[in-house]
Amino acid sequence: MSLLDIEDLSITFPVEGGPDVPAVEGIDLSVEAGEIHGLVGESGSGKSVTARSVMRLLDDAEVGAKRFDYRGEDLYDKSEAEMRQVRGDEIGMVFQDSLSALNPVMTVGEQIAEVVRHHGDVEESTGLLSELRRKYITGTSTSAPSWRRAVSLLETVGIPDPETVATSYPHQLSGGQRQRVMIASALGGDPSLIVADEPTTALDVTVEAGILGELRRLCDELDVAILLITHDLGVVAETCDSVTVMYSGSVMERGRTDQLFENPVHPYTKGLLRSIPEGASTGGELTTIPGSAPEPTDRPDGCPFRDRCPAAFDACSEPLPEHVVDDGHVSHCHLYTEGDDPGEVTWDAPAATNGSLDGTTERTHTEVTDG
Amino acid sequence: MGVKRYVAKRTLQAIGVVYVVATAVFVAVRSVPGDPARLVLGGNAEPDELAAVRAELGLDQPIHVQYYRWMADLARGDLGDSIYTGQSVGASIANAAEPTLSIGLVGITIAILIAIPAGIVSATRRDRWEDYVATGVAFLGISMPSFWIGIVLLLTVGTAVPAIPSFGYASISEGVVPWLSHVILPAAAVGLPYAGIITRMTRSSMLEVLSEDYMQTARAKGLPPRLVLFKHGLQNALMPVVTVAGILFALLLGGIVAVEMVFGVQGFGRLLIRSIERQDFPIVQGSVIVVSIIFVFMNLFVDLLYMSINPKIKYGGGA
Repeated sequence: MSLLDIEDLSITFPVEGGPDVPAVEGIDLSVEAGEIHGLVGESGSGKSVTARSVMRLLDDAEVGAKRFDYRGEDLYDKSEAEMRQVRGDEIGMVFQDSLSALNPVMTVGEQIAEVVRHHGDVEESTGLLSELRRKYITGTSTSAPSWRRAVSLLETVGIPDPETVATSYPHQLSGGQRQRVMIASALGGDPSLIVADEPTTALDVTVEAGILGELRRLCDELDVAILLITHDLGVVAETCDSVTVMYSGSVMERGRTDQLFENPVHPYTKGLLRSIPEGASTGGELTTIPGSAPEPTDRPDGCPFRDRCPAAFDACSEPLPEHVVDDGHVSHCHLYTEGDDPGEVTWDAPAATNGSLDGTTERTHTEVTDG
Repeated sequence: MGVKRYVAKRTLQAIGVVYVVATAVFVAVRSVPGDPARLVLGGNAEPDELAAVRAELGLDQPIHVQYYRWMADLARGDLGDSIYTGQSVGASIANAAEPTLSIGLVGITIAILIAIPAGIVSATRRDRWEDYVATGVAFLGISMPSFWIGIVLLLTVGTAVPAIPSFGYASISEGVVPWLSHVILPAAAVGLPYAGIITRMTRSSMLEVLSEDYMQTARAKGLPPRLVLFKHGLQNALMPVVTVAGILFALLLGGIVAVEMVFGVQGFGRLLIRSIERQDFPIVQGSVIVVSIIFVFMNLFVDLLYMSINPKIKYGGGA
């Protein structure tokens, strides 16, 4: 049984005086215990909204799913009080912009310690009055078990001198340190799943590598599963065990990372892989998928990608089919409904914009090494 | 820089401000037409009597000597004596200041006790009846001047509740209950418009905070809603409110002058107005200086309060 198993999830934002915005339309998503699952897609593909729906944090959206199971229990059948026991305790969340996602007027130690008090194994009162007294009058004692646990969590996520950092305010820390603090606070309740919404997008590349390495290590050592939302296939290749590719509210393809990178079948996945810039710049133009994603209110019938797809044909206006390529590797593309492999999609033919400027450098964008 | 050094530095700056105010007051008072000695003695006074009074008041001295004496006396805390009553200016102001400060401080307390909860309820129950009631009442409060609210309170509460006297003032030395019963209505009159503004401020500030990312983080930690609101939201929401509340204190003091008239309180506002009418310039000078000192230290207090709730602000830096 998957740790998180979502079937046929739709998320719609009602708009007053306008058409409703269908952010996500009927996707499946599953995360196995102890793995890192990448949810990849471009801006507006619905990946962040999907991540928030796992925490039931979408107040103004209509969320519907055939099944939304965490450990076999449907999260959307739970009461709000039961859900508070899931948040932080079972599922931790890491947000993208750590500066705005951490409270500016509380020390980072206290922001981690409060999670420990509410969900961890410490005997400290968590009533409203004692929490307010702690915040406004006494402060959290540095000898309190929750504070000590916060310090050790900071150490776990690779922060040097955790005692000092715990007493710092978010604005006193660097972006990388802050993101580590966010991860530590997500770990505060010993969760089995961490939802990380673009945790490295706001960071520069060297810091990003450190944070991704940290996530990989935590996953391996603490056996915590991570749902990693990203728009960067390079991040997926480096970090994830399996991946779901989203495009404009629908899943295009999903499978193990090696399956997807070695044998991508969906034209969109192929286009994405082809667009990863390789290593040092060779002076050529970056390869892109021509066109842009449709507005959620203005998607074509059937496959949302068909207006940009080089292999689009009549059947693409039909609802998306499901094609099992291999064990665990699923593609939602009409090219495969005939039951056989249609051969190469014409992505490989050099597009007009795909020549290098000096005309000599030959680049092969279909090959992406699995890092 | 520690808080003590910061306060010391700000106090030195405050002395500079008071010096400038004292100079401006000196110049202004001497520029007003009219002869204080003639005002004291009346229209039929003999020239030698006038000269004697002028000499007594130091008005026969050259202007720079007057200025020097004024500053020297001020440095010793001596503001001179009233031309009319002969009482020392310091004592006159102290007597008049007690009712005014009582009304002001009780007024602020009433305003904050009403406004901050009302603003929070208004923001968290946005677009529901609680919000409409709170914003409606706040709008009413802002729209009515203090003296008008005072008259209405006098005619309603003042006549309906015998325990609340509608006139005069009782010093706190006569006991807290008589003091408070005299102060409560004028304090409410100056506090309610103030409460209206702070309610609106708290509401909009809290609405902004409610949509911040860290509030979502707090929810994602599985904290109960009230803890999210009061532990993660309140302090952030109050930051702009504290700044505005401090600035508006001036507005409140202005309102007291008229309210003192309505309730027949012999306060600071009355003293000032009467002294201006009589050209009792020592009292006018002294009052302006006392008011400037109150303002300078009120600003310092607000700044310290703001720093204590905003860890991003450090003691020190510029002026």
